[in-house]
Amino acid sequence: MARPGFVLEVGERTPPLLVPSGDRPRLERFPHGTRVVFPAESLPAVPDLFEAVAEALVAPLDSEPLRARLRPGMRLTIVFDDLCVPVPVRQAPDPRATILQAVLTAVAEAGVDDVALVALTGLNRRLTEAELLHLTGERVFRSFFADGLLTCADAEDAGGLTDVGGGVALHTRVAASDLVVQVRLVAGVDATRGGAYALAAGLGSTATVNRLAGLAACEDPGAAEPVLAAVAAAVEVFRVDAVLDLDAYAPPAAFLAKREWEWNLQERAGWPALRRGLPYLGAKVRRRLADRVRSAYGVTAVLAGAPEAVDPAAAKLLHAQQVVDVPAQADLVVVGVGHANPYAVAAPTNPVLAAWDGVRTALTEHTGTPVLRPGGALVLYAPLTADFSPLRHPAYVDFYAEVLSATTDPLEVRDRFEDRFAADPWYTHLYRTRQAFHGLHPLHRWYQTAVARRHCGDVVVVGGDRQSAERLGFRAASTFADACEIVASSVGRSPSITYLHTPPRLIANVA
Amino acid sequence: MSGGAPGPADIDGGARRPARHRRRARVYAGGWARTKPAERARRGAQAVLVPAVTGRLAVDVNGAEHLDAVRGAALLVANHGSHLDTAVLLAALPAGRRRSTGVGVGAGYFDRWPRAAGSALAFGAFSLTRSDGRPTSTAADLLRRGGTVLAYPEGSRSVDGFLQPFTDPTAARLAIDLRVPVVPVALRGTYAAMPRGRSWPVSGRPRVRVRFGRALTPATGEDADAFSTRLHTAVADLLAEDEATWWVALRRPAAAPEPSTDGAVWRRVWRSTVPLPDPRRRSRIWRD
Repeated sequence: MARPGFVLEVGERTPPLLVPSGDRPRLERFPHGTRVVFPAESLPAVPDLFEAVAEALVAPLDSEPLRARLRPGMRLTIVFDDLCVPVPVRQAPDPRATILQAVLTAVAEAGVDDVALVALTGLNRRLTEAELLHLTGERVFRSFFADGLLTCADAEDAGGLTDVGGGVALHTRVAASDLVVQVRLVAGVDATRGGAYALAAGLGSTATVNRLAGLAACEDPGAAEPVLAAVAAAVEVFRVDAVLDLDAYAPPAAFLAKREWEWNLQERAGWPALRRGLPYLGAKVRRRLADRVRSAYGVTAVLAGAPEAVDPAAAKLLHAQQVVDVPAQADLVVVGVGHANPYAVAAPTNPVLAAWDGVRTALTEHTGTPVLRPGGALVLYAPLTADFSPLRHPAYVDFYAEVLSATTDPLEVRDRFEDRFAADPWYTHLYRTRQAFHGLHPLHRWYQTAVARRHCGDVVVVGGDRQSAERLGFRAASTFADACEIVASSVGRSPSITYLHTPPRLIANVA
Repeated sequence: MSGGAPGPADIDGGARRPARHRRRARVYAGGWARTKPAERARRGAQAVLVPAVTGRLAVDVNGAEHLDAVRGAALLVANHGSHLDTAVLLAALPAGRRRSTGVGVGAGYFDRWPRAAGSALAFGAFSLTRSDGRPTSTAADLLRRGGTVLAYPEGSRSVDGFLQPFTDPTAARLAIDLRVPVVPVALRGTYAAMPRGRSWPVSGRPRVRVRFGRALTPATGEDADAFSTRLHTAVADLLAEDEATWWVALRRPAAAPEPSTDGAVWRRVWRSTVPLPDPRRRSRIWRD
């Protein structure tokens, strides 16, 4: 039976707790009385994913079976989440590969010939062939890729985008399809925004995505509604959602997600060697090792049918897996920022992405009330090494060096720099032809970070590079005790402290 | 005593036969090859054999997730084009499953003692059936212990490299009696790598492909012949998928068409001996 998440109050007998910090996790002793929020254990996964999908397709929610909606001669497009979900990258076989096989088996039985697959990359980077092969599986990849029928979305392809009304431009193939089957992995609270958001953000033009993820939408989520409505009216969608469990790490790294007092002898003995050996390995070797860490996410449920019915059902199952009851808000919240980042697969996690990840985990993954009280202090554990991938994050390099050194105010960032980053021909060229994130990508992450950050007071990064912390508008500290000292003026000398013991992910339900 | 080649001995006893026939009877049943010392020796032999196979041949393995999804006892049924098939398939299996795999072969395979003993030791080979068609007990014993049995229901190697009808329903019968899943396996390129008449692979590093399919289980009330037909279709579909693509095979599920047999055996052999292309080598197009 899977144990639910719980809140532990640190006492005499509480061992040091694992805190992720980039590629060098650490064990930390928290003061007595600290509330530690542990995620739940994984719910049982479906024994046979292919059969589970086949059953869902035959008995969908609020819709005819998929087979009844297919007919020979129709144009069908299948869209699926890109590599950002889940993190870390799932070891082979990826659930999407099995789901796509099940869907395509039904499509083949219906005699549909005109089929194409599109990855919902949006302003994220294009996927490499190896990554597409990993996501879709050898069967699907070999069947469609060579003929150009398995592609990534391109938000800058003017010839490949169609106006669907309301100032919204969408992928032409998708807009012209008789039916779109959307395959989604429900792994975190982002998914509760609904599949329509993923569709619009993954297939829209740059301007369309900017309306969804720009500053206005970050400050007022309702600002994105007209875009979602236009997309929903333009495209007929059959959704297939797979809700993931919480097996965030595959062996041999599985102990990183275990409760510390349940580590076995081998794990306890290996930890000192890991902790002492990692600093000597060098940054590149550590990153390569960290990049090899894979997850073992299983699928706890498969839902299919009309998006309006699947969205709330998937959200309910996600909550059943991830929600943890937290008794009260805290004056100070601690979060570790690990190496795995949705936008840093096969790339270093730069300071901008680390800040986004830490703030998002602490301040947005809840059911309505953040764990941190308004004006409270946020303590992050992250190295904040100014290490950027010029291949994947060219816009981030300039954003960090030029924009953040001038201002951290999101309004000023938008007014002074957004047009330039959006239209820069070099960023656009790298985005369209290489594996680079779009020029607007760092700005969107910063808007989300800055808007969420308005809720809290000081942000201190333990173990973080001082220059990077200062550039981000944060403070740096060497130890947790020093961090508490820094924030003492705002939260007092005996603040209530909560540590969110992630990963795996959790959604806090604050009483 | 007839002057012809002696048949296999009855493992349940039966009439007393001369000593050399009793020795062949022990090989036939594979009893000695399943002892602990023999299994250790086999592990050592396979530790050399597997790297030798993967070094000498370029082995592509697909569909391993279907095999990983099967826990415990399993039957593998594969097409049989070459003596290389067993070595290639064993090299494609995960180490844990390989250790508990036995290879069921036709009774006639054990006519010569050195080959029989060598196969039994290196591959865990045993006779799947006796000369009267009844199954030996070795396969059932191995499956009951949670092991894996590899079988070739075509009965013998294909003459032209194409899939032949499944004439031996023993594997299907075992699956029904013991309620064990059957994983269909398609092997391509082994006929081209070492066709009939050769005892060593062709020069170069020929490419071979192993493709595992989803495990099949007998339906309620299904008999061995019907289930064997389903297995044949599954292997044929896998071969068609490997030759074209999965999507093409899915929409045209018939087995790979065979050219006319009117005096054209050489054309089928010719087609079966075309080397498989390297999937990683693709013509490069300079894109702007």
